[in-house]
Amino acid sequence: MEPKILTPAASCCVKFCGGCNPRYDRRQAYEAIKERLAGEVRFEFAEDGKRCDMLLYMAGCMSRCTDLRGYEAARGIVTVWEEEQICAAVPEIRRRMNA
Amino acid sequence: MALMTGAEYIESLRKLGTKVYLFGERVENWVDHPLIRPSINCVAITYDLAHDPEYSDLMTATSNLTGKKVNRFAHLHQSTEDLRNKVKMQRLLGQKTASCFQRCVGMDAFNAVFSTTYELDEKFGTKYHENFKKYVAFVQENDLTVDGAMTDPKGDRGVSPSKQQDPDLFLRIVEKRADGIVVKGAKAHQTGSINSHEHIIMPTIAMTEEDKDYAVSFACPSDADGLFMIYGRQSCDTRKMEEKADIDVGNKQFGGQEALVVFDNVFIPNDKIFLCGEWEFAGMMVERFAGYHRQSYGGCKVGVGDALIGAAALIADYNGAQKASHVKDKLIEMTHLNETLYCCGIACSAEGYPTKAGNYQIDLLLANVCKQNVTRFPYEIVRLAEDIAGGLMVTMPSAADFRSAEKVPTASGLSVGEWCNKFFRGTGSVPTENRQRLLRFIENLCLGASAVGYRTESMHGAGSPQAQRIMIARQGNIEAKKALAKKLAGIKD
Repeated sequence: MEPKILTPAASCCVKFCGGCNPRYDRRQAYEAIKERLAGEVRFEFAEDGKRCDMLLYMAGCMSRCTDLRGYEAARGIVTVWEEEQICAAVPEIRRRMNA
Repeated sequence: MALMTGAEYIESLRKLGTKVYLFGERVENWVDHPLIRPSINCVAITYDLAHDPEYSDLMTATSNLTGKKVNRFAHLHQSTEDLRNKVKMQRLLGQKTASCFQRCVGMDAFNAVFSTTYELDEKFGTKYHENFKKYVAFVQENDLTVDGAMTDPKGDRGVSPSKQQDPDLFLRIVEKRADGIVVKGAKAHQTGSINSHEHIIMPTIAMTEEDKDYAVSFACPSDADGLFMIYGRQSCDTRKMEEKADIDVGNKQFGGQEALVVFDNVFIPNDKIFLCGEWEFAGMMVERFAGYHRQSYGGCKVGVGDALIGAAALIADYNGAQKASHVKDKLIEMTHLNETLYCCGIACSAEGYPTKAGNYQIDLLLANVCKQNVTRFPYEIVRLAEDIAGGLMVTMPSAADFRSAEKVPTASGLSVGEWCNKFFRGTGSVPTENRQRLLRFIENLCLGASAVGYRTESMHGAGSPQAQRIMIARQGNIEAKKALAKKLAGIKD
């Protein structure tokens, strides 16, 4: 099946953990993901009470300690907590957005 | 009012009439003074990161008083998660500044005074807690930096406040009026006092009835009439005042600050008083503040340690020594020591509990163990950093020498700068200036201006080592341990 071309109106909220001792550069990783999904997904920072199509959670380490209970994302949450997951996050976000 | 930015915070300081003395003279524009400004930059970053989505999760919290988003430094801890997030925020800021960022004392004072006034009112029917709640809401609403001031000059350590030859050596009430009190005395070693909009004053020791005039807690603006500050010197501080000061400073952007804060008959209105003669509660306030502050060091010093470990690893690279097994082992030891401190900070937070007032208190035994380790481990981390860095960190010529184009009249005809760059290069691929910068950064933390925060403050800040040992003795549960041994050994008596 041909992948659906998304309008940039599809929104993905990004939530960073607090960053007490991150194992990789979360901002740089987020920028890389955003660049690879340019034109397909509209990214914005997560805010309390804001509804998004999905949530990209950029955790600095495996403990993933942020409380995400207050966030609503109909297409679920994609979590990145180490550098190696950046590449996998891109198709996963695309897959969920197309689902 | 919304959360301030760093720039707005700095502008807000300019509007204060804080009276600052340095090198024997009044400094009118202290905000831009090269000795003071790095410490202001440190506080400013606590404001800026609150707006950064990458860090706001740690830097902000929801106020239990107003329901609004506030800077975590103005927050009353509502859970053990809040206590852990406090430590994580402090580690983050230590990493960002490699300095004391000064705002913790206010946060620790809020939480200690909040719970103490609740229990004080419960016993005496006073109204201090309501006063204090309004004060915290005011601080949160205006996003203020507050100095939590505890340590008195103390004079003769062998006698109580009321028995001192000079009665002002502990801050005291000198007059009670219908509308408030007048206080006199001083608070010494005050971290970030000049950079604070407000001060919260607390007693420094547990007291008896004869010391009741010294059992006083209150808030006042930093520019109150009769209040002034004398800036504390730091090792190598005047490097910041040199022309083109940069590399030799070690950390140009950030630094810590301490001052003597003098109260010469300062009037405090009734609604800003939180303890006034109820000597029975002086000890509780001291113990709770000290407990929170001993937890704090399990975050802030760890963040600074992260920066120093990074510098030690990097200088090993620059020196071409990174593959030596003893260097690798020293970096492991530094990391082990640093993470042990973090373990203590997180543990005393995870084992926290709600006070009667509803905010959360740390586990006192574990917080004291945390701080006791802080009186030792940074010294060993520094020793290992100096070991890895090599002697050049204290023998290197000045940045002016490295820049100098003056020819030395010898056969080669090279300039002073060319000689410096020739002989102080490390591995071929690394510019000499990078090595210079890094060695000065390490020097700054190990024995320069930032060593005030990383070393001696680790020893004496939040109480000297013996103060923690007294608390560990009180909290150590030795009788229960004796009972365990008796049972296991089959002793029946």
